Amino acid sequence: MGPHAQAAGAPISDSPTSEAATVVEVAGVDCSFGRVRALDGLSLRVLQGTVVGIVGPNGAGKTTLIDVICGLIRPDRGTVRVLGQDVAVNASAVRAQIGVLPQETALYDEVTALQNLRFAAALYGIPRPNARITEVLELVGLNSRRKDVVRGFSGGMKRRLAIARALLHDPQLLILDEPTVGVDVEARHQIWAHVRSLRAVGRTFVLTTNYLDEAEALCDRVAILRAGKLIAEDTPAALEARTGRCLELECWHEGAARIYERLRRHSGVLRAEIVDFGLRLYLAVDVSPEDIVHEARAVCSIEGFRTRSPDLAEVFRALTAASAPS
Amino acid sequence: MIGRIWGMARNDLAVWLRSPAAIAASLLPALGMGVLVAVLTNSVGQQPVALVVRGHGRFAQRMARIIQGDRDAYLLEKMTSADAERALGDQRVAAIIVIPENFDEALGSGDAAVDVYLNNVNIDLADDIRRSVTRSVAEFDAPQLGLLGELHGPARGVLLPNPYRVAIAEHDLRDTNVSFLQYQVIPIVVLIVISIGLLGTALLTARDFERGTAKMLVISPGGRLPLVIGRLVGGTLITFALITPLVALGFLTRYIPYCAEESEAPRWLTLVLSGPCGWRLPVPSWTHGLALIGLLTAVTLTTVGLGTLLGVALRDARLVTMTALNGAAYMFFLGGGFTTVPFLPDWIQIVSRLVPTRYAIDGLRQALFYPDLIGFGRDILVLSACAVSSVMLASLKLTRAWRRR
Ligand SMILES: Nc1ncnc2c1ncn2[C@@H]1O[C@H](COP(=O)(O)OP(=O)(O)O)[C@@H](O)[C@H]1O
Ligand SMILES: [Mg+2]
Repeated sequence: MGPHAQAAGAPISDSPTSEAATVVEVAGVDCSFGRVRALDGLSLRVLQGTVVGIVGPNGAGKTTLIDVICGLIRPDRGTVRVLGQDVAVNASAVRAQIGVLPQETALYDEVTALQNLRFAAALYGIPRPNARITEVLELVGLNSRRKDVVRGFSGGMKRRLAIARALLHDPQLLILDEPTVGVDVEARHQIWAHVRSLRAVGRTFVLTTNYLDEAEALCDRVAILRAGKLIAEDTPAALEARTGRCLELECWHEGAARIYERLRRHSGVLRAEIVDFGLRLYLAVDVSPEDIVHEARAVCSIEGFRTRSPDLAEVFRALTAASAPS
Repeated sequence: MIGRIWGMARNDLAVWLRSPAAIAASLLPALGMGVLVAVLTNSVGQQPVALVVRGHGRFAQRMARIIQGDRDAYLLEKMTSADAERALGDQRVAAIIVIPENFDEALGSGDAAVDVYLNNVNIDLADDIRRSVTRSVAEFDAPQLGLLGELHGPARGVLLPNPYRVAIAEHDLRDTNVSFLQYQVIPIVVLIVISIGLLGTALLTARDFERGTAKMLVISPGGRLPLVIGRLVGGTLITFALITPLVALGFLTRYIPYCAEESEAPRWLTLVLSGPCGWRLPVPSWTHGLALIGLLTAVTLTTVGLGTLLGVALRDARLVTMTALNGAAYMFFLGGGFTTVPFLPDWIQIVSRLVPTRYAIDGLRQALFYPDLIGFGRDILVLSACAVSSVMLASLKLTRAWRRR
């Protein structure tokens, strides 16, 4: 348990089965909007002091999952517990321990940064908030702009102000819905730095993202969502391993097509795709790349080959393609 | 709880005061209407007048026929005295013309009179009636001189020593010292209240959905009720924030006159009513001052509730703006914004009974222009009922709307 967790006196229930406490526990949650199944039998566990990334294409159900965790939407089935409390039962107590950066940023553009934070302080019942407001503004580097109207802020500044607001009541769990959408590279790295430094002091994060490099750079664990279903949940490294090693063969185009036909149904080849320099193959862990190269050479001549581990983008594509709904 | 209510209300006020476009949108139609009213002031239409013929003699009947024949200035309706008095009390007629029982005998002795009871604070309307009665009487006395009668001014409860045999005894039930323009400023004030209450609250509510702040509000701990109350208080504050200086300006420039008489209220009431400039003004009577505050509050709460409902229903700033401004304009016209309701065609009168604006305008005029508060009880009752139901419905709908994003 981090120092801040104790300082805030959070009602964390220690689970005897795991070393770190469970902050979020989503169990068998179904959630439908009319005919759309936004979440489909979803289960997820978030341990204290970790950053969990929810990755998935638009409409995968990321925002819905966040709303369910905050108790904004009551699931049709299943339970959600945050810091040991059932969200459906103790919504208010749970919300006091959650800081949210919503996808829309949701600031009052007409008024100043300071007025936005004062309002949030009133909503969260923070007594004498001025010192705390200065603290969080310093943290996100906006204290010098506190008296400025938010309308004049850049996208990145708005996002950082919204993060400051999420931090205001010193919550145990921070939920960031697509925190770096529409901000420039510099602001993106600033936001990443905030997440890392807060994680270092024991804060727990659930963040959704469309960017796989973000998940890879920030997250301890990544949950991949597709059409409301959790199709994988693991550390980035383990997910990469699961996709298998990536083998790239250099050959001319016609040869690539012939090798593709030959190896497509090979049990050790998870996926194959023809690319401009030749062929890219994803291999199961128990298959030796040399054997595959040997087999390919029997079909046509190979100018060269190399193996590397796949990045998350490739993992994601492999996993989502494999579990495409029928 | 109190902190969250106040936080919400204060935020609404801050956001609104920083929305100049929205403020302009809510004020401009009313100001335009004000200009229109000022321009149209001189073209006053016909007005209903009751004729009570108590004399049964030949001359009395002839006098009645002449008055009835003059259709230029007023819509005449023959009534019994009881009906006429009731109609005058309800502001359904602007005046009663009475041909007394002893008209024929009095004519013989040369001191016959036609009684005119004016219950109208509007000086222009009153003058129209005076002119017309004078003309009718002149026609009775000397048909060929009928037009000359128009040159004669009004009488004040005395028999005019005129060259004719019939005199006009005028009984003014009100001081007719309010100009038509002053009379018409009241609906404009009501229109401004409606516009700000409706548009302001609707915009605040709709924008919350548009920019996702509604979700932020619900995500905060402590439940929705304080926030719903805060929104309604905020809507009331934004209305008062704009209407108070305008009303104060109205008092200072005397476009909104006090009916300051008899019992005097303490100076603080004047200050509350008209802001820091109040020390320069005559002190209103207690009852009238409180009536004014109560009425404005009831109207504000009604429109704030309606605005919230509009914002919840449409959730789109542009749609909300168009609908709110049109709605305010309709409420203004149907409530008798351009003239006194009883002067309008029957079907509008029936419709206007369902429009709260009507009671607001009637009540405000009563509180500001008349020394008594007759009919005010009904107005404030209807408006309070409107305020309570619209605020209750708005709370219910907003609480529901905020449950899901
Ligand atoms: N309030 C809602 N009403 C109806 N459908 C919704 C609502 N919210 C989300 N959905 C649907 O649920 C699915 C998941 O949406 P969402 O959670 O917003 O996805 P993501 O955040 O991953 O882009 C989508 O198909 C979306 O259209
Ligand atoms: Mg989303």
